[in-house]
Amino acid sequence: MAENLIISVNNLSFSFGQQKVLDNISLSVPKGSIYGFLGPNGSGKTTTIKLLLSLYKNSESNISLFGMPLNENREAILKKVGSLIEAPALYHHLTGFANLKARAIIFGVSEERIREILAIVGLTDAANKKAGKYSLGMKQRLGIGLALLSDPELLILDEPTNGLDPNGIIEIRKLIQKLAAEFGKTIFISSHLLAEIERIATHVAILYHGKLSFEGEIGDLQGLKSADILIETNQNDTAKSILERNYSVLEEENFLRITYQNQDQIASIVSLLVNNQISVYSIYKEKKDLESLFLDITQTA
Amino acid sequence: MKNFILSLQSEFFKSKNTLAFWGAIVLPVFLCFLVFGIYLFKADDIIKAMKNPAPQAYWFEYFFSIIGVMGSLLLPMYLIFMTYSVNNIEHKAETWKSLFSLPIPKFTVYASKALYCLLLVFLTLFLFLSLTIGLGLLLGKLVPNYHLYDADLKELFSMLSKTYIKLFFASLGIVAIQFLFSLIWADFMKPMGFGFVSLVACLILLRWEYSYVLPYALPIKVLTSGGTGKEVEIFSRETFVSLGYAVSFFVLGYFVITKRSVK
Repeated sequence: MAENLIISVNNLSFSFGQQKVLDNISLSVPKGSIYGFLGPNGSGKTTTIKLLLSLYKNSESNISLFGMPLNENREAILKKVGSLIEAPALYHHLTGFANLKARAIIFGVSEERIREILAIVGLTDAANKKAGKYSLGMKQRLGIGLALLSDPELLILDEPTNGLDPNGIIEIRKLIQKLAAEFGKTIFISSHLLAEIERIATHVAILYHGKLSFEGEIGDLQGLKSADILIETNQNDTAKSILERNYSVLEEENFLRITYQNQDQIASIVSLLVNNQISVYSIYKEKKDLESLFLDITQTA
Repeated sequence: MKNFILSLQSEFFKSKNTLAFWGAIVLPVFLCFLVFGIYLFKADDIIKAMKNPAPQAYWFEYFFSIIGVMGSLLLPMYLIFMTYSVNNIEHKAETWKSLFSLPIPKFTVYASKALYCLLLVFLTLFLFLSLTIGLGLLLGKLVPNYHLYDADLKELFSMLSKTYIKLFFASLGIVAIQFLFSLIWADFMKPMGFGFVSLVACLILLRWEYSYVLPYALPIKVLTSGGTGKEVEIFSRETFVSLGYAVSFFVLGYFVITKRSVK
């Protein structure tokens, strides 16, 4: 298992002065995965990414990439990593092509490869336009292009869809799927939008207030999906005390909430209430989507 | 070494359309041609005012019209601006994080940027020297009354070259200090403000007996210490002080980037 891990983080903690930003997190990113790193803004995602890229100093040796400890193998590891951190870092006074060229010189990459990259990220037609004149979506795609330039095995993308309109989001999503499927890249992608990650990721980790709330395959997260029954009656208090004999009941403003088990459960709840002379105004099943599950996970962590 | 040369090449590539690079060319071209124009079109007035001196004196007057303005004010200001501009490319584009996540040692990124600054200073001073000499010789042809070819050209040009070499060394202290401050401060006002205030303060303190320890005063001290006609000693006290500042601040800068987290 360990040799198939591209990123392995063990009990990583990190502080800015007195403020603890990461608290004992462990991550395992398998080769070939699209690993969604989820968390609300300010949860510590970018800090984790900067630690993975050795941009923040971490004296402990609890981060390994490609099976090598990061601190001792910084350059060998970074050779295999392409990254886009926060907003794309572009020279606005240079064209899209020249932005790639400035980086290509360092990597010793040919102009042919630059043109290839421009085609992959769909910027061939805008190659000679100044990056400052690009739309945000184009900037993000150029940023991904820069990350791809050296043909890295691992792509680390920090919020690549941040601030994009729906079309831009779709374009980036397709690009990420293409990079994983056609080019066999392992992709570590952070986002605060679960719906976004849900569509593309094979694995998910959820970070909240610097602590890891969940890590597993996307299917495991789907398995956590649950539903509730919501009941509205003429006497919610009495109904609650009746139902509490059989179920665990939560009273909310105008209704009672019970965890859904099966359809028979709904039928028996209705008859139980009716037999006790309680008028049932409404009863329905509320399916929890991943979004509210995400909120649940992060808020109970 | 290969990484270093490639980084330097990339540095040149991305800043070739910036003011820092063009400033290194435009500044000497503008000033030298301006002085050349004055000496060409106002030749009669100049010859009359100088009352037929030795040809050497015309050369000194002409040299000083360029190097005096440049060395005392324009050069330090250019150094402050140029070091800011070379680092500001990365601050503005927020590219420090991508530069420092490249698979090359941090030292290579840092040193190629620092060397690029030094090359720009070298380029600007080299252009000043060659344009001063080239346009001076042209002036001698166009205005024979200056009798510029009657002077000992070899000695004059050797003296001017040594002065420029000395000026280059005397600039390194300012370059290193300003390089460090513009590396750590993204804000325009801080490094520029610090630089200009330091420059003015050092100029005010120019008459102080220990003013040779003031880095921002060193270029002008180089020009005022060797009077015309004297043999120019390249490795003087000012040169060593400047080199001392340069080495200390470049080392300190490297220390800062290795210890600091990259934003």
